[in-house]
Amino acid sequence: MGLGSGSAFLPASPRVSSGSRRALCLWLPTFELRLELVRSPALDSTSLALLSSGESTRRTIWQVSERAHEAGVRPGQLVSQAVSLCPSLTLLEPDPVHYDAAVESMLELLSEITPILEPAGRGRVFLGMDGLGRLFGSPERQAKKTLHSLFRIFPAPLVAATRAGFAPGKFGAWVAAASARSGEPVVVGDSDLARFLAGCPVSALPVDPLIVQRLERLGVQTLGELRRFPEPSLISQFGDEGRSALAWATGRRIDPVRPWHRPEPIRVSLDFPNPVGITETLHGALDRLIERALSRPTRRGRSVTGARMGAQLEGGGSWFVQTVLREPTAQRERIASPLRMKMAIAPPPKAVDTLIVEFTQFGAASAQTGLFDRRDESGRAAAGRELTRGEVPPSLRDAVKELKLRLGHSPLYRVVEVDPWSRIPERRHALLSFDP
Amino acid sequence: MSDTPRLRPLGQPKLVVVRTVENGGPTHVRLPGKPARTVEALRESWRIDDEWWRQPISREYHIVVLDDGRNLTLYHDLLDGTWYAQRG
Repeated sequence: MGLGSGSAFLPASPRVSSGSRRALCLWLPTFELRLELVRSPALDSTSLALLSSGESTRRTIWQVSERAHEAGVRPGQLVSQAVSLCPSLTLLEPDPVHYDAAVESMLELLSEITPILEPAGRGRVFLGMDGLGRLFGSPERQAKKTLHSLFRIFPAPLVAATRAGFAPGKFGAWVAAASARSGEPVVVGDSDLARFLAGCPVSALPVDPLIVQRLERLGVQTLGELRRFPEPSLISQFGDEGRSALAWATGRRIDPVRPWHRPEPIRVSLDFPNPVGITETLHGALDRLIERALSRPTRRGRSVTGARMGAQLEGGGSWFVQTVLREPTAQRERIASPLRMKMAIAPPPKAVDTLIVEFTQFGAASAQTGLFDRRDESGRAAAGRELTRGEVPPSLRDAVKELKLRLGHSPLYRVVEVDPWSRIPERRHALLSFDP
Repeated sequence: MSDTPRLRPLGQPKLVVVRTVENGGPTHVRLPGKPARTVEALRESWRIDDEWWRQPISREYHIVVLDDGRNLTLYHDLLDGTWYAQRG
């Protein structure tokens, strides 16, 4: 159970500059599978497994129910392996749109308790609880009140399966939630954090998994054992990650809950009169939908940095792929191309009833022209070749002319070799002003 | 508006403050405007003696690992005793 990379890690300091220091982690293991059980309660008495989304051949198991687990079915197994272990296994296609809608309603509900919310995957969310003591009482009461509020949107079995951990920082709260029993929050105070963490396995550390493996091979099983090592030895073994590991293990590093901001997505959809399974038709529809989304007034003045393509499938279920664009853009082809590529890797498992396109992340409006002509994908490479031959592409020549008019000189340089084999590093290369 | 092509050096050394042990190996480094860092490991060392016929150059290079995990190339100018950090 690692927090995974990408969490808001702060420098090793007991002081926290922003966000909420007191964190409550709500964790609902196998969230998606439990949502399926809520939707179809009759499945509760069967051995159930949720398929991973992906290519139609060699599908694997994503999540399994307790009954299926008892029969030997495990996440990551091939469907054929799982069925041979448990012939009565019921397999379900994932329905990501349904799961995301449940997450949305949960976040909306929790935002009534605290404005500082940070989701971490579908079944896990961190709540910033600083300053809520006067409103809700002790940390135990705050955690119980939060759990209780879930009854407004989820049925009792789902709320009962939710685990809650309250501690300083997200790491502590996550470890507390992971060790909590359903419906019984684990609360860790400031002074108890180090003692609480001492008994946790090193696999809880949000560091490179290879480091965790090496620690385990060295016989270091718990954070308490890790703390016995002096910091310099850990640094010499693992570099800066060693220092991080020690800071987490001792509770010196507190990662605050940071308010999560998600702009309102732009969503467009297209209903097909008949279900469509032909890729070319879907590609055509994707292009039309992107054009429609780009022309929305709410998009103007912003470029797109993240997009997602989804579908309601024939006979129920849903599918989606998403992409984060390398550069902000407002061009149809540059948004469509990565989505088409993702679709080729993980196509919709059934014919599509409704195709949906969502712009989920936005950047600043960009009217900046490139130094190289990028009308086609090879423009930059071609310009590079021209430059090597001593020719200057017209787009670059124009850009330099404009910059010279503004600044009085060309601010562009090219790297030239002066004495590339010199033993003195500063003699090898230099920057020569570029003024074609 | 100047039309003369301008040449700017690359990889110029930066003066740093270094604390050493008796045999000359660096133990602490302070980069300009930064707090001092401890040298956790010395990865490689070599020496350059060149251009004795005009302006002699005599440097002892060290690649060190700092306590924040960063690799840094340092050299000790053996002619005037100063230390520099440099991109290789």
